[in-house]
Amino acid sequence: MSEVSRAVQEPWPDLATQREGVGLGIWAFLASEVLFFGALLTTYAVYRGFNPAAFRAAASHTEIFYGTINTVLLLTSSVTMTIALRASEARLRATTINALVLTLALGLGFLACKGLEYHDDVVQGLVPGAGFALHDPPTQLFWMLYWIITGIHAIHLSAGILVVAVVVVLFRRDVIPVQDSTMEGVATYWHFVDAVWILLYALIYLVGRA
Amino acid sequence: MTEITLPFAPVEDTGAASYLDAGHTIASWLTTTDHKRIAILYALSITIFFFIGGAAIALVRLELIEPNGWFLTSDAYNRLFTLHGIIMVWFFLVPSIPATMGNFLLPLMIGARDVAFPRLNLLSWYLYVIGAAFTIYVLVAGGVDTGWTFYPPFSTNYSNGYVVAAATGVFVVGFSSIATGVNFIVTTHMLRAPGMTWFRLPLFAWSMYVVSLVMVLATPVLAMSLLLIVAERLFGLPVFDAAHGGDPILFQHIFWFYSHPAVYIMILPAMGVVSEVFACFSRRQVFGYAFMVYALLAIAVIGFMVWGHHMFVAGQSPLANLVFSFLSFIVAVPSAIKVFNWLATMYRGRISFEAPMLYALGFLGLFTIGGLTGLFLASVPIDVATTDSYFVVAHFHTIMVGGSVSAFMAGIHFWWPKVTGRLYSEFWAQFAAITMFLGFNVTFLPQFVMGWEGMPRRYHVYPDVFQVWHVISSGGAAILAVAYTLPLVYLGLSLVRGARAGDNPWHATGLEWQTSSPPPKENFRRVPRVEAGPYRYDAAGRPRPQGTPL
Amino acid sequence: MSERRPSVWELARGPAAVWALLVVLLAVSAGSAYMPLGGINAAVNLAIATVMIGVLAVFLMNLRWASTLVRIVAASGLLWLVFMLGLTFTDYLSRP
Repeated sequence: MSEVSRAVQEPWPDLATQREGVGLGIWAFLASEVLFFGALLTTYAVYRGFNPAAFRAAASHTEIFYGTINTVLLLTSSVTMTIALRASEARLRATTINALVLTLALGLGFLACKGLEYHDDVVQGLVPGAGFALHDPPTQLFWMLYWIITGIHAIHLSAGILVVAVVVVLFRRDVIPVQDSTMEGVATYWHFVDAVWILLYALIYLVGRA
Repeated sequence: MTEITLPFAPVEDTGAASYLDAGHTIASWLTTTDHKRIAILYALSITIFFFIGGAAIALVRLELIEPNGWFLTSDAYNRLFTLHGIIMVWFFLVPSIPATMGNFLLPLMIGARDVAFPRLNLLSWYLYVIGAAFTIYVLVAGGVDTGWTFYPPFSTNYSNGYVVAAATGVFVVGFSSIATGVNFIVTTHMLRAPGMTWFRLPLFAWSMYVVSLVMVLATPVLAMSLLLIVAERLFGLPVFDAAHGGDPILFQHIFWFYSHPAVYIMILPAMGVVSEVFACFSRRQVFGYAFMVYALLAIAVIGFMVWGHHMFVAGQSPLANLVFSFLSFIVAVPSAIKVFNWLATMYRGRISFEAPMLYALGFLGLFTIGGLTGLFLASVPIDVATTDSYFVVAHFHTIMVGGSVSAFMAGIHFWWPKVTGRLYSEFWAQFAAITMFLGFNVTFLPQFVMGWEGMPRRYHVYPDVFQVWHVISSGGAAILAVAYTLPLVYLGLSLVRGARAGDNPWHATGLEWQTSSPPPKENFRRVPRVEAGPYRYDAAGRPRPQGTPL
Repeated sequence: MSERRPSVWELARGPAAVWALLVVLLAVSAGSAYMPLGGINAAVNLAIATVMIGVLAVFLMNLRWASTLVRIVAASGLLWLVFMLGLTFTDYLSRP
């Protein structure tokens, strides 16, 4: 039982309540994240509402190949993360760590793919500003949103990757037991980043394809 | 002071077991996870910024004595009022009551040993400090001149100030708010002592919970609005650029979606404080407790739906103006309910006029005036005439200074004995409270008048006809400066020369008064079991405490 | 404790099924984007995205077993987003 008592932190009375508290805290934080991205979505909605043709024209230049691969990578990472969470609840230490490492790899794969895609976008002149490739001015609005939204998402994913990496190290060195409240928060955050991407995929890659 | 018989014998006060004694090094303070110490770290930080923001406006008010400019260039003038706004809103008012009194008292009031996430609490203070560092950099490097509202295209394309640094500072400090909010929400839901049901919570605890909901939901939108400004200014991305189909009004929508609820972030905690003070110094329970709770919630929720009243002349559609105007009238109703309930609390109470009560009474009158002038502004035709005039400036200062700052002072004085274990000089505190009230009115009543007569805000140079009002207002500001400096002196002196406070010098109800002053590190030597609601005073005005220790 | 610990396959079965569902939905969404449906394209894609997020939230984020409070918190974020979008569009949709 010393493992459990190690896991309980001040001022929580017991591990179960602590887990519940961490879960509630992460969801409260996610509510704020919904509004953070929501402001961007509002911007997108307003600008697309006023410039539907320009958005279709601009979005047809996005790389749906990279986008779709990235979506599959993230969906898979959500599954491996779920396995990690369930393994941690069952106190399967090795499985938890392995599943987390897999999740990490998939996340890094996403970033690598994104990097390649960004390179392609730059080469094709899709950065708003002086050398912008498309003619109609409102197409710059779409691409401005592309860079900002995918950039912010990538930053969130990178933060998640960093946290997962740290947690893997802490679990491997047995600094914290796998069954404490850490996995609760990590998994929920990771799924949120995936959920945001699912929406972004529809808003960025599937527009103007027909 | 008569001895109050409590239902348990307090553990003997050894003086060596308070949270202040748990480590005397600077490191012990900078690495603390004790919510009480973090509250004090915040208190010191926001006090410093209060005086920096105050110094900025002191220079502005001095300059405005002369209608044609005196010792400031117009550019310097713009930078001073901008810095005043940024500092006072984000580095003083928003954190003021929640990060200081909320941090210190919420766990105590609910019978907990700390907040839910003590390390997150410390992180929130460090985020404040990092945001503050950016602001100091802006101050030292030369300032920013966009107004605290950062409107594009001026902020993105034309300003020569340190817009990116200023926006970054505010962005970072916003996450301090969000962290505090998440912490308080989880704390209130999950760490209440046995028997402490939701409707037995003191109204201050409720106000901390409700303000946390607002902080968590509103602040991220501010963060995004500033991020977009930085993206446009730094990377040249056409976010609000009309030449590419962008809309500067969209910035205003996103910015005010946060910034209107922000004013409720600034007033809800104040309402919580004065509820505690009115109950204690009337020796009566708060009238209509349940409606006071519902009113807090209603203000918080409806407050998210009125932001367009800052944009009546910006180019919003008439329909939107109508909708936002209507909702702005509605949001006044719960506030009015609270004012009537505070009055009813005092009715037939045994009222005494210690400093906290004087500040709370000042709050009551000034909040009412400020709120009523808000109704004027909620009316579109009146707003069209008074927008961007001193009428608006006077309105929001009456609420934020006359209201929130008065309540902040009320709370500081009310809980000073609990936090420090010392009693301050009541004479000087009452003197400062009255001086502040008088100084406030001399400063801001002329601003209502000249605003109504057409004096625009943010103007460095103005028509001679307004000079008399400016001079009176600046005189009032000088009085306010004295009133704000006095507490530094007598509160500071109380730390070394003040009489030691007992557990409950005000004979108030509430769990925080059932532990020693200052409290031990773990808050309660024996965690209380709560058996009744708050604010129970018997017919003779004696408190009947909320809990008994387990 | 004499609880039998689940095997990796037992842990992975449910999530793998969810994965298959999500990939199918993804394919349908992407496929439909290439069909010339006019304004319906956006609606279909957003609807499928919403369903996918719902599946993720309920089955992988455990909203299925979460307390009422957590569900309220999750819903609040979305509700506030509706406030922001709704009232902002009150302006934009009624501009002359």
